[in-house]
Amino acid sequence: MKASRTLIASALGAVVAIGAASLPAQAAEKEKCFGIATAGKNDCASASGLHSCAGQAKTDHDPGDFKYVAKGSCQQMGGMLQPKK
Amino acid sequence: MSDWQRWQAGLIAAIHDPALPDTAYGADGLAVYRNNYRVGLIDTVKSLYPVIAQLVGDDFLTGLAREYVRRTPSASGNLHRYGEGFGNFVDGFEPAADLPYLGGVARLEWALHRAYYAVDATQFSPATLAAIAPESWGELCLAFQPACALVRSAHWPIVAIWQAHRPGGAPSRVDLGSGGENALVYRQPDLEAGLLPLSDADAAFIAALMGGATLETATDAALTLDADFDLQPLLVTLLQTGCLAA
Repeated sequence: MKASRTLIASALGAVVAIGAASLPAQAAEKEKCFGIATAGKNDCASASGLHSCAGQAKTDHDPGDFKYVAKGSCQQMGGMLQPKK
Repeated sequence: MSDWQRWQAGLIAAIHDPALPDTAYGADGLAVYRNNYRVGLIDTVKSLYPVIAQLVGDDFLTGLAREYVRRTPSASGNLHRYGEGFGNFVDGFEPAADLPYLGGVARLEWALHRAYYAVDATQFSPATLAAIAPESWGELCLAFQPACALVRSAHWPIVAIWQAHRPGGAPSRVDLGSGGENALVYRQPDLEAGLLPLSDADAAFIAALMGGATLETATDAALTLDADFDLQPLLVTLLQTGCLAA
């Protein structure tokens, strides 16, 4: 048998054996998270009216900018679920 | 085309191309539009390439961006898509010829930028493999998530250069003579872009798959470069980084 076939058989066999257990979960529900987006990486308009569109945030971690993150992970990252007034 | 449609198309063309006559639209007003368009694109390009800014300084990057913008009209209404091909432009730009690794680093930064915005495809599940006869595994073609990109440099250690010069990173000594490097760029669950250095054989394997080759052809390509190429850890890495799509 060719070397590549042997490699494929053993590697894919191992992956099947490991199964899906060790793999990252599919990103499921998202929530808006304020105060974590870095400049240029916000998902939508600023709640504080500083700019009008995704990607326009000028400063890191502006409390008026949000990005979508996996549900439940916002506060762990130091963000807020509501914009700061 | 109605008169006002012709008028609008003419105005847009005149904003894009300063060589066109400005008489039909009022020279002063048109100059403001032209300047906003140009400066907006220059700022966009500069914001995409923070490591290039560290490497060459703000003035030189502004000059590069200005020349790139002059030659490259925006092809999309979405600014996120502007700036592709900056690395290729830098490669062919005479004043940057003293820094031959710059283009490779720029291509890496572009991949990291695009990883953030790419669409989510359905994840590949290893369970799919169980349903396929093991004799046929070699004929499989694996698909990649749109966020995943392979960046290769034949001659320059682009990953080491990037790591040493990213904003907030710890400066370290880079040996420019250490040879080429490859990187797999992907999107992490927290939406930050991730980067993994790859051996030449690993990169050849991924490049072949991305080009539509079967698993067997891709494995052969990697084994040609390195007889000790090991598929299993690479495959597990591809699954763990979420790079494979269904």
